[in-house]
This record gives sequence, C-alpha cells and structure tokens, in this order.
Amino acid sequence: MPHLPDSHHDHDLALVAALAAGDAQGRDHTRATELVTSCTECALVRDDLVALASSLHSLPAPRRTRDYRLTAEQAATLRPTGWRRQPLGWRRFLGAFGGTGFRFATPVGTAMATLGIAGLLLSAVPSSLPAGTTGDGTNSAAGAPPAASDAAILESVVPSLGYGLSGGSAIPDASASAAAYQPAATGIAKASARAAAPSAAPSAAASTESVTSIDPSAPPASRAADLAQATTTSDTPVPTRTTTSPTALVFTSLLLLVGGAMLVLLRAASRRVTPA
Amino acid sequence: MLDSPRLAIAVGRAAQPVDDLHSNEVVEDPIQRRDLILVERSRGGDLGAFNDLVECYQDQLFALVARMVPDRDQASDAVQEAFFSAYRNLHGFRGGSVRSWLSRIAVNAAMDTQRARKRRPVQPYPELEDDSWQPPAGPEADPERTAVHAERTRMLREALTTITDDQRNAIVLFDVEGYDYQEIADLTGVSLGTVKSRIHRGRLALRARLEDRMELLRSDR
Repeated sequence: MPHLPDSHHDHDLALVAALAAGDAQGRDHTRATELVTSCTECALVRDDLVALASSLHSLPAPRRTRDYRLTAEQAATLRPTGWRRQPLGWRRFLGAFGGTGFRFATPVGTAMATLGIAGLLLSAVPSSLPAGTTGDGTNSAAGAPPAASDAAILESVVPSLGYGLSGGSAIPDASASAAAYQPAATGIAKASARAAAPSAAPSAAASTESVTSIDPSAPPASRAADLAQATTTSDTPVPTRTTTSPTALVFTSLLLLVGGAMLVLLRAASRRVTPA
Repeated sequence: MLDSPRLAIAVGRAAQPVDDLHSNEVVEDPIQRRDLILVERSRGGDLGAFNDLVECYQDQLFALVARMVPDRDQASDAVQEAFFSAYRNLHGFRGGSVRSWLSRIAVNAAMDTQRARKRRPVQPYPELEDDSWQPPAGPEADPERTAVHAERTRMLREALTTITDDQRNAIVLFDVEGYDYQEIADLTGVSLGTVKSRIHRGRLALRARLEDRMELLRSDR
C-alpha cells in the first residue's frame, strides 16, 4: 500500500478529480481510491465534484435575443465574387492544400523563402566587397593582376608576331588583323578571352610559359597557330579553381524563394477556400 | 420551424444518397438527412434553405457560445459571425454531421472572441442576465424549490465566469453540452489528455470558488 501524506493539503486533488470523472486508471486509480477512503476531506471533494458535474448538466440554456437568419443583402455581401461560377476543380486543387496533411506547408515554405533570400543576399555580397576581394572569399592579389598580366602576355607575344599592338585592348587589334591573319587572330582572341576571365589566373600564367616557347623564327601564320594550340593545350593540365558559380547560387536562391512563397500562398489561399 | 413544408419534405422523403458531399452513403438519420439536403440546396444558392438550417441550430449554438462567452453582446456577435462563416464556407463542408460542423465553427468564433477580449482587456465579464426565470409553473410547483434552483443556476454561472477560458470551454462542452472527450479535442484543437486535465482542474477551480455554498449543490443530488 503506497504511503499517503498525512495532511489533506498535501494530497493530490487532481487524482481525486480524475477519479470523480471516472478517468483514473491503473496506479492513479489505486492512489485516488486510497485518498478518498483514507481522507474524509478528499472524499468530500470527490462528492462535491460529482455534484458540480451533475448541476452543470442541468443548467438552463441561455435564451437567444436575436434572429440569426440571413437577409438577402447579407447573403449577397457574404457571397464571394464568382462564388458559384468558380470551377470545382480549382477549388478542389486548393482544398487539397488546406488539409491537415499539408500543415507543414507554411513552415517549410517560410524556411525555403528565407534560404532563398539569404542566398540572394550572399550572391549580392561580392559586388559590395572592397576591391581586392572576390566573391569566393579569396584575396585576389593574384586575381586583380590577371588583366594586367594578360596585357603583358599579349604585349610580349604580339610584337614578336609583328601585329603592331599598341595599347588599349588587344582584341580590337586582333580582330583588325584578322583579315590578314585569320587563324592567328582567332587564336590570340581566344587567348585573351581566356586570360581575361577572372578565375583563370593560373591558366594565364601557364599560357605565358607556353607562349614564350613558341619559335619566333616560324612564319607568322604558323606561329599564331602554334600560339593558339599552345594556349589550348596548356589549358588542359592547369588546375582550375572549383567554385560555385554565382549564377547557380542566384538561380537556386530564386527557386527556393519562389517555391517557398508559392507554398505559403497556396496554403493561405486554401485556408480561405476551406472552412475552419 | 420543423413543420415548414420544405423541412417536412426533406425529412419525409425516402433515404437517398446526397450528391456532392463526398459520400455516397445513404444517410439513415432523418435529421442528418434533412441537414444534408438543406446544405446542398444552400450551396445551390437557396438562401431560404440556409435560413432553415439557421432556424434549426441558432438556439443550440447561441446556448453553446453564450456559456463560453458570458458577455451576451459578444456571444451574440460571435454566433452571428459563426453563421456568416458557415454561409461563406458552404462549399468547404465535406459531409458528415452538419451539427458538428456548425458547432466547430461556433466554438472557433467563441474562442476568437475570447482571444480578442484577452488582447483588449477592458473589464471582467459584466453581471450576467438572470436566465433562471422559468415560465409560470403549475400550482404543484414548490416555490422554495424554484428559488433554490434559481440561486444554484446563478451561482454556477457566476463561478463559470471566474475560471480560465480554456477550463470553461472544456467544462461547458463536456458537462453542459455533453460532448465526449474526443469531440472536444477535435473542436478545440488540443490533445485528449489536455481536455481531461482542463476539465479536472476546472471542476476543482469551480469547487474552490463555490466552497462556502456547495451545500446548495449537494442538496440537489
């Protein structure tokens, strides 16, 4: 037999209430029965609770003081626009999102939208960083010079080819000389285009090596072809930096944002279509 | 109300499947069949059918809401809002018991009113109207018994206004309206254990409020 506290104030009246309601089971029932058999005040509480429940059941119903029938004007106001013309399939589709099975839609949608916004903000950060840093978080001490080193490469190559490259961008000159040296110009243009890419600094360095190894005594056209080939072949072994493209990040973020917003909106719309 | 030609036809006709209520089961209960037919007609734009439904349930819903929201004006507004909501959402009714559907809407409206009152606390619930008045009884009625009954009703109503909204809702739905635990859990959106706990604690709280007048209730047994 479990030990019961001596004082009635220490007795668990919730157990007595459960017993009075017929809800006490197992150990609780045993303990509650012990309480009401050993403590007269607990027994009184039990009797009072039973009497209360019985009296509540016989409470007279409050009288209504208003007629709640709808007037035609009220009905017209309450009826949504196009209420009866809306296709059933549309309502059914929205109604499917209003069920308890889609209770997760709002939190998941909110989370997706938040991730999307965070992603968009992250992708916007590089443009607001101070000069000398890149979007992938690396200091571009080697990244800023690529443009300069590209120009140096072209300066070192082009005079030896006799193209007369003089300042400015190499590409216009290359395209200008394309009439005479079409393959060579194309190769140079390719080289400069590759070297101009911000993430191709190592590649540019490699192409410098390969360009300097071109035989200057060869005819200009074949030298240009060699240059193009050297540049092409030198691209292959050079390790490229594997970073997530900002475009992919933006695209994914937008997808998340739109998807999340659609989930939240669908859920909200379905809750309007289906009743409480 | 129930003797209107429309309802007499609805109740009197042979049991038949009611379309568009997501169920092809034949409804045996005449009240339920009547309700489903009225809902179906209301969906078709028949305002009279909806008002027949209102007539059938307005007393019941008002009694339910007025016990949950002791302020009569607020209770009345909540019932009106519940019927508005029911009319707006007729297309969302998915079959089953119309009474339960309407009760759920009314309970939600009452709980919304309670929440709004919590957000803008103004004053405790005003003195309740004395609903203990009963039609003049026959000569066999005992005046003392009538007076005791009136006093008991008044003190119970008063005590009900002093406990928490959650406890009052559970007690009204269980002890007064006669819903079972599971129905109350569905209506109020809480677990079965919470419903039981609220009822037990609510009764204990009521007893604590009425401790010095419990003799009046004991004598009723």
